[in-house]
Amino acid sequence: MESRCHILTLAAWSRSLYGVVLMTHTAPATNTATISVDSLWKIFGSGDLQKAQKLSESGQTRAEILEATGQTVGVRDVSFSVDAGETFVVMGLSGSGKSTLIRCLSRLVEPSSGSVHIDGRDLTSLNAKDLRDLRRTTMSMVFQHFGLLPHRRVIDNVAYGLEVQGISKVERHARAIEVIETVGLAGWADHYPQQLSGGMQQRVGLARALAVDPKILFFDEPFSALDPLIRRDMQTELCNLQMSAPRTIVFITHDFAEAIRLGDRIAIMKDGVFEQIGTPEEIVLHPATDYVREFTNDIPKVNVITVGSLMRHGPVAGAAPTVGVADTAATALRLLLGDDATANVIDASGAAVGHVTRSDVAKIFASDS
Amino acid sequence: MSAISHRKWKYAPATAAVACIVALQIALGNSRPWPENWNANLADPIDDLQVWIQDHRLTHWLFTGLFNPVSDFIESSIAQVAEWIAWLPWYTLALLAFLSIARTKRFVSATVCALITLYPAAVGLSEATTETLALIVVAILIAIAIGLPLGMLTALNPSAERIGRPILDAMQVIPATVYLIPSVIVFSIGVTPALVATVIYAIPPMVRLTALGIQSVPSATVEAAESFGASKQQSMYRVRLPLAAPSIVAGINQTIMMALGISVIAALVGAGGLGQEVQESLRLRSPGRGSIAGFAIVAIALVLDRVSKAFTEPRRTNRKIPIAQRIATVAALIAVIIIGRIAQWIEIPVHLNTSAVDSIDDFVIWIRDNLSEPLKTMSDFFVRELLIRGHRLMNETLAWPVVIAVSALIGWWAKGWRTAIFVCAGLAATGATGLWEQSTDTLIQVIIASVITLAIALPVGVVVGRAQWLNQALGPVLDALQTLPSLIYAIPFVMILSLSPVPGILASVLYAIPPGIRLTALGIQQVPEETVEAATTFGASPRQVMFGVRVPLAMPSIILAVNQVIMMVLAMVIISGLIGGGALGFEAITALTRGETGLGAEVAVAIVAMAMILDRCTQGIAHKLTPGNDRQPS
Repeated sequence: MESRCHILTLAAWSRSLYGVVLMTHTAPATNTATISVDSLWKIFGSGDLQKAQKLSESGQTRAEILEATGQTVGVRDVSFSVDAGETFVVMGLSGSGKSTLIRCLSRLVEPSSGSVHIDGRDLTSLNAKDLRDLRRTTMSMVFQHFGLLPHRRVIDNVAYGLEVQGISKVERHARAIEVIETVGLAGWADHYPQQLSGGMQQRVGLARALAVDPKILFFDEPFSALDPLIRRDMQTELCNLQMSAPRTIVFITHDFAEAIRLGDRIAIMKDGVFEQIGTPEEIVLHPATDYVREFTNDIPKVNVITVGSLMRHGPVAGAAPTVGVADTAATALRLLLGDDATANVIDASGAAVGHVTRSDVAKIFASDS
Repeated sequence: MSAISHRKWKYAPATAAVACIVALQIALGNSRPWPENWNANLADPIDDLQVWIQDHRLTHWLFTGLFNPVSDFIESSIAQVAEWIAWLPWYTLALLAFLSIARTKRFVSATVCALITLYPAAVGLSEATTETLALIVVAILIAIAIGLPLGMLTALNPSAERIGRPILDAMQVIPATVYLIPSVIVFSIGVTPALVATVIYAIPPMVRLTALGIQSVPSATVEAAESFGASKQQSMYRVRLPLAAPSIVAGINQTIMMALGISVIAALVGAGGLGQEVQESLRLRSPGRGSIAGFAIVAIALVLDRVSKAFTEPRRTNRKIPIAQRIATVAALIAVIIIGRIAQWIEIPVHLNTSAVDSIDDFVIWIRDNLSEPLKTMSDFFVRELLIRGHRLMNETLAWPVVIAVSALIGWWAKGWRTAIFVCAGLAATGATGLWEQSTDTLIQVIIASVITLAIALPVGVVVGRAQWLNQALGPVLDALQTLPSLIYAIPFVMILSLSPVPGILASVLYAIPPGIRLTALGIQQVPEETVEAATTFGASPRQVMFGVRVPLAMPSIILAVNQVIMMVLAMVIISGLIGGGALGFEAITALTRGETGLGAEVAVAIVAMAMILDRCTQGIAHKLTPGNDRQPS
């Protein structure tokens, strides 16, 4: 599964100017689905939850079910799978059930029915102890309001996951210092979280999640509480991390642009249901419902459409610049702003497979404005 | 390396201080209580003043022109209010309670409250209840009349707040008994000193909560009003006060509770009412009779609480009650009252059979007769092992400068050198009153009672904080326990164990447990869910979540619980002077009941010093343990 980071296109472009062909990162291809979710339901309330599920299956809306049973349908029959190393973004507005969904994946919230498999292991059937062990070794989570422990210093916050595992103080502090440096907080280890700015606190949250070296990272709107510039920094940071050591990520956001920027695939969620699952390109080019179209309207297509979908068959002869098949139209356009009117397209292995022209790319740009 | 040596250095001053104290103790040796001739003889001028007052009460202008008329006015207005209440047909107050709560469409609550209103009269306590009610109504009106404007002033005037805050802080920690002493000096025995003490005692929450309410009105709201050209006055009366109303009513509520709380003690100086009834039952050793009167106080508290809350609760429907309906209701009410008067329905026709409470008395007597051996043994153990040993430790083993030095060290650790100086000054003042020994005895009782209370309240509070249903179930029980006059707890213990400090200590424990549980549970509940989730996702076990996350984050609230418990225990230990508690409480009661004003003043100084020292130190520790405070990176 290829992993893309559109935020890096500028860097990619500048490097390819110097003749360096930069392909977006390709994760180690293992075909095992690391997370697989099958007809997951979460219904809040007391009493017989089956009844609400039946009503929901028969097509009643959330409001009608609430009126009839006093129960709220949080997640309604959701199925999807996330591949190893993939960044899967769930985008939805508040109340869409996205935070409930991500909590079901680690059983912070107990699913009402359906199953969650992690590396083939059924999460829903684990007992408390096995679940704890799985949480300690396999997954970690970054929270919207950071969820830091205010009575512990940064270093002890970062080392928390290791401490819970029972790793000795010396060892876990050494590891924590390492991670603190990775997220750019060197020198802040002995401060308390309240002494840090919001962006720095979330870096601590990120460091804490990374310190246990998890296979899976859950992000619950991690950057929503940050101001736009810091948010962008953090997104870049996350992209860099995915480039150097890819992990399976489930990322929750209410910001469609963020979803486009980070996601290999995106699920649009509304009223507890997935409206559409697809790559950013698929969603922007072919929105499944009017609801999804509403979000895509404001997104510049040059940043989403890939060269692969614009490509004409066969490379052209001569010393044309090259562009990757997974690069965006915007990247190609920048290459073609100079004298060259045509660029050759190369695939992941570096073989030339086709070409794009300036006018093809310019059309996409024109359709945005 | 540098971090480690730094940390070692951090403990150096403390280690040095401890070494100095040990050296001091060795140098001074044993048997050094506070020197007897180091006495400020505070009692003499006060006693002289009392004599002077007694001689001039009928002649000097200060009395003929000020205190006596004020006293007469208060006494006659309370009598007047009592007369009015007594004049009303028996069902009037119940109807009023029903109507004021029914405004919010809570008819069940309204009906229950109306029935509860009838309880005191139905058990034959209508006269005593009327007296208490009259005292409380007048006291609350005065407290509101003084407290509300003061609250408004402190809310918006920073310098008023700077001056007012420490005074209010001090006023709130001082046990109510202390206020009675100066009131009695000026107004002599009667209803007036009781009212004055009640008002003084009840003002701080009124001021505090009014100010808090006004200050918490969002500044954006006030700015919005001002942007439309509202004057200072308009934004105060049209915006701030209405938005602060819930907080102000909470203040009135607290005022009511504090006034009821003091009403029992007020009976000591001749205020009569239900307090008199409780004291009587104590004299007769009848917990049954005491509970009847106690529940009458709880009934008043409950109804006043509900009624006052009904005036701020959002109504369940948006529909306003039409004017016509309001007028009709008031007219009907007046008509019903007049009919009741004409028909002479003054006495309540229902009489509850109160013989059931005799079984309480019988039960306690049975315990006394059958379990007295083990209980006596326990009591003796308390006295011999804890109280007497404590007394010896403080007065014979440790030299008094060592006691002061240790206390100062604790103060320094809790809050810094200012507090250390404050502690020294407070203890020196205590010594100068000549009540050093009694104060140490009271302190030992307070420590024992607090430790027992916390040993029960903290674990229970943690459990209650986690279990929502338990919290809801316990709520009303804790409410009742908190409103029940504290002395009632003491009666069964006095009967079983006879007079000694032990019943007082046990009663203090019962009295202070509810707020201990409450605050601990609150702290546990207020831990942000996300932080708990974060710990859980890392695989923390329930134990690790509780002791690694919930308890540390609840620490400030838990220390506040400790503070509250200590303050309540202190107040109760003082009152237990009535039941053989000895120490400062005994001196306080002697001063109050025998009119030994000089002694009263000395006791007041000693109690105030102790209360403020304990309060400052615990508050300091709470502040210290609040995450992010006083914790610079090393």
